[in-house]
Amino acid sequence: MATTLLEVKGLETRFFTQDGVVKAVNGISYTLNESETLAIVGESGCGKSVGVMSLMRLIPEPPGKITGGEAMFLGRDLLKMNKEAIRQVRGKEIAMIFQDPMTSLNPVLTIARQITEALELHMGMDHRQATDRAVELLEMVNIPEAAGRINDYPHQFSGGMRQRVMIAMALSCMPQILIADEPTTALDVTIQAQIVELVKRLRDELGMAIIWITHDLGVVAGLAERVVVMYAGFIVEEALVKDLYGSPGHPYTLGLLGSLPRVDMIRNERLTSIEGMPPDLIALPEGCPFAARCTFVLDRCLRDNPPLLSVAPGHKVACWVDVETGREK
Amino acid sequence: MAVAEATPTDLDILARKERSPLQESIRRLLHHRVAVASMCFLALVVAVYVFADNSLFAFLTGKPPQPLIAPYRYDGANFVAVNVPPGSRAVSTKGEDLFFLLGTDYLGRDVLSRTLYGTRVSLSVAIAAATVSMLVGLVYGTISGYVGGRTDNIMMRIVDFLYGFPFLIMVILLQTYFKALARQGSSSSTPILTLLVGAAGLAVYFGGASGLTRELDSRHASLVQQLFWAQIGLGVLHLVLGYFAGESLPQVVYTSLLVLIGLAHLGLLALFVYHGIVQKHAARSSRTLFFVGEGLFVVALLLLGVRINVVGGILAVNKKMGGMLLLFIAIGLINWIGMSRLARGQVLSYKQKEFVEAAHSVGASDIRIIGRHLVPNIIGPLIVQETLAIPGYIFTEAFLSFIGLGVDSPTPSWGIMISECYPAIRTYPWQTVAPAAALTLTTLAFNFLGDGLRDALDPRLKE
Amino acid sequence: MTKYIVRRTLWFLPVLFAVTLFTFVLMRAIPGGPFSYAGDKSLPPQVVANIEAKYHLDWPMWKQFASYLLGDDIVDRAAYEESLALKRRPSRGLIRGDLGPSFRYRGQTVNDIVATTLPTSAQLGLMAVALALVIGIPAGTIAALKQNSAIDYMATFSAVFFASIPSVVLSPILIYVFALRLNWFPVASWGTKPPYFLGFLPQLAHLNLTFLKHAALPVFALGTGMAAGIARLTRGSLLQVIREDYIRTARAKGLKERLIIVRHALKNSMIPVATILGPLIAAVVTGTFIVEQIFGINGMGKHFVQSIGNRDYPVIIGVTLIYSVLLVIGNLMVDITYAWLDPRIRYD
Ligand SMILES: Nc1ncnc2c1ncn2[C@@H]1O[C@H](COP(=O)(O)OP(=O)(O)OP(=O)(O)O)[C@@H](O)[C@H]1O
Ligand SMILES: [Mg+2]
Repeated sequence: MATTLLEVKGLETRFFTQDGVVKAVNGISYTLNESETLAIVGESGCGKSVGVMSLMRLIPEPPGKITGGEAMFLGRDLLKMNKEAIRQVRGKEIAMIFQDPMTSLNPVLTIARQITEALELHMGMDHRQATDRAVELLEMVNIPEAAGRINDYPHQFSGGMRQRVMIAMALSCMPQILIADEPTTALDVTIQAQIVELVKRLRDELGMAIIWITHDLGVVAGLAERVVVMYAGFIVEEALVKDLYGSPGHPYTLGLLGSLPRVDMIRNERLTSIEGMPPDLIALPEGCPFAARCTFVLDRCLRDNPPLLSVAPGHKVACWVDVETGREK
Repeated sequence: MAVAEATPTDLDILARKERSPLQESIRRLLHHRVAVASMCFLALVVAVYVFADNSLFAFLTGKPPQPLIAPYRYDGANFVAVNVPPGSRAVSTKGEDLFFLLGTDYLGRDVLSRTLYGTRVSLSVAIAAATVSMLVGLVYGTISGYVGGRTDNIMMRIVDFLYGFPFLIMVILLQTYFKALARQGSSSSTPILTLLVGAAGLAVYFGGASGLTRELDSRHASLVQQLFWAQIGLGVLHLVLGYFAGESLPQVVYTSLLVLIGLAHLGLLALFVYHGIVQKHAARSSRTLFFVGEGLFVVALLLLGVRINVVGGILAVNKKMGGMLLLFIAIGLINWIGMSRLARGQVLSYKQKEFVEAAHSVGASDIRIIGRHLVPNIIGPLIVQETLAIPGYIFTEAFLSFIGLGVDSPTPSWGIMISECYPAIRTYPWQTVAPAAALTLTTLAFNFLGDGLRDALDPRLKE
Repeated sequence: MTKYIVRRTLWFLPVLFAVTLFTFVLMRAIPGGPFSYAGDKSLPPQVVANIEAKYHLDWPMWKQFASYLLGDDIVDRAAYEESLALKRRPSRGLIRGDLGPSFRYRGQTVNDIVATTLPTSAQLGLMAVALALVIGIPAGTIAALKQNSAIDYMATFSAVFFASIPSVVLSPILIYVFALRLNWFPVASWGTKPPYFLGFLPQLAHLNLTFLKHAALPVFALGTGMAAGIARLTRGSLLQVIREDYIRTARAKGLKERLIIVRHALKNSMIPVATILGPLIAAVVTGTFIVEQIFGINGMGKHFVQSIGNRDYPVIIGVTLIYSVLLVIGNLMVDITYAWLDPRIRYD
């Protein structure tokens, strides 16, 4: 049994807006083991980003607020640390790369400046050492002529290269956990594949654990060991990759798998082939949040929200229905 | 096409999303307490503006306007009560009881009345200048952004060129010139420059038109020819009229004929654009030549008209308006550059949006797309910008009046009142305080309203 | 960048020419001529004709303009010799830096007037801009960082308030309160005299309390409006910047909040501020017209306004030219600042 690195229990995040309380994350629990890759999938707006940003305490406050739960990392609760302590964790123990490389780098600072500042802060390097290390890092993520380009500005790089720079930046302090929030969504298909390959290679070389957020179940299969499926701020299924593809336990997962990209599909088409729209997070329904779109829906689904329960070792599902038979469990 | 397959519910959602932002904005604006207070204050100012005296109805009765809200006339001097402090009473030479709530100035004119009348100048300038700069900027920027390509390039070059121009100083010089003209009466400017512009315009126009007739198919080509000769004919008519204007035609007739000719020019041009000739069938160089030439030609005609008579006419109107007309034009023309940049930027960002492309794909004409789809969407930020620019116009008026280049005495403008009275501020401070307070409060209200509007239209900035 | 500056400077020559032509033609087109007005009623026609001949006002317009631009010796050699013989001062031409004689102040040239008045105006203007930046940027930054706090509301309100008081209003009020009632500051005039350091800066020996006391009110009157504008803009742009993705990236690196603001946010938020520096310089120029007038400072602005009243056309034209040059230099500096702030901008 691998050692647990991060254990999230009952995480709950809300946004208190003028229109009402947005229940973005509603008590999610999962674990992440050492050097394991965990994928989080789900439709747009289901709380994936908010869920992981809560761990880093990067939610804009106000309007956001983490209203419950804990996240144990090496025996300490990330959610209860003081500001100074969480700052020490950010970038050093847990690093993050974001969806849009075009806007995630500061346009007025050189690449060198943006990579070295974390090294100087967390690794105690002086400027010379940090610059040398930055060049190594850029080489590590396959930026050609890294030494010559280190003093360039972000706008002088292409989108794929910027995402590589982001990865180099995130890995600069050898974090134990890398959180990748849809790092390839904004990129071309070929570049996407390169980035995925790069992350795989680096993971094998450096041995960190990864939380990989994506829309794309196709990428998940080759990269992750376990998958968490989110819907409307809830986890509705958690399974090993092969179990998820082999015997999906939640109607929503079934829908997602049914909408896997096919050759004849236009790129960028998102996972929307499930009929209907996700519920309004301000006014969540009483029962199962997926009930309104579910083909298996029972009376009970409209009354009670099903808890996440084990159906097999390492496989948890939150559904009243057995999807193979279509009857209540 | 996605639109074709949209289900009723989708359309419902779309429609709801289309409508709600405006209502949302209004709701947010009404929640903005300071903005609402500013609006109330400005409503009050407008009321004073309209009802300071009964000049609105006076022309019906034919009698000279009588003060309504204002206690006295703005130019009513009282030599029995010169420089009296606020709250003074006096008995006029005719034996009337006079009461001066805010005191009087060095001619014994009621400061309160003059301050109230002062709204006329400031608000008129604000409204007129805002309208001028909005219209010019909107049209210029929209055309530039929408047509794109080389036209855009040239138009923006011009804007960049003008941006570095010391505009206010130019306005000062122009006002100096106009004021001198108004003092002297007649004009003696040389027509040579105008004739040159006209000739150059005619040449370019001819070049463009002949280019177009070569490139277009026969039906469109004959249209171009007709248009060309029609414009020339109008020009000749214009000149003939101008010749007789001084002699036998009354000025009103001449001026209204001039306006008719101008409208006819524009109408012909609109017809031309409407037929879509410019967009589709000819080389861009010919089109550009055609339009630039046309523009120069018309401008030259106008200038000729101006030389012959209209300067006199404008100056006469200007005089009737207490010197405000020229101010309107001058101040309005300072600010259109910023507006046109903003409008262009907005058009560029909306041009690519789905609904515009959808409109294109169903074959909507350019004018329709601009009028129905683009302008309604880009107008919000422009209005905000314009509201925030109004204090600037009011300042400029006060500034020009202060240095003696604004409205003519005795028309009361807050700028003039301050400039007349500040040297005596030590002894008669109230004479300066009243117009100063009015000026500050009005600009303050416009600034707060502009801020409120901006927050309401762009909630990202708030929160 | 150097190439850009050179090109901009060359590009400026036609603008300057256009300004000169426009101003010149406009001023000459004013009917009646400068010496035949009411007020100079006493002058008999013969004298007026003499004076006009002296200033070559009897020449055709194009010739006057050429003489103004190039100098009498190039345009009309004979007239040049004649002027010399009569001990008159012939025009040496704009290209040789001669702005011509003043009509009003006989015996003084426009160059003399500019040389004595420009330094004072420059000191006033520079101090006002400095004040505007020193107050405006920190105030806007603090307001944005403490968004929706009492400090923010106060800063925002006073910014709107001061942006709404024109200097026409502010100057008399300042004089009334601080000079006349409280007697803290002198009412009028400026505290330095030539010769100046570098041609326009006060000598160190003059930089004393008296100088500051004289400068305080006018600088304040000229600077607060700008400070308010800068503060509003800074606040707005910083609020936008701290919502940007790259600020989140910086947070995710574990940087200290102060460093995030100073290094990652401020420079970005200054970019829109740099864009209004151009209009700001123009505002300073026109602001000096009023402030110098009201505070009785013998600067170029006051002279400009007076020469309009006096119809002293050579002064009007010359000073307009100087203003144009100043504005262009200002705009060039803005462009340079802009390029320095935003590496995405490359002028070539
Ligand atoms: N600052 C905020 N204020 C209010 N609501 C917010 C805010 N940020 C996120 N939300 C809400 O929280 C919910 C979850 O957002 P989140 O960004 O986590 O979605 P996501 O699963 O990452 O989607 P995507 O795949 O599009 O990135 C959304 O419904 C969103 O509207
Ligand atoms: Mg996300």
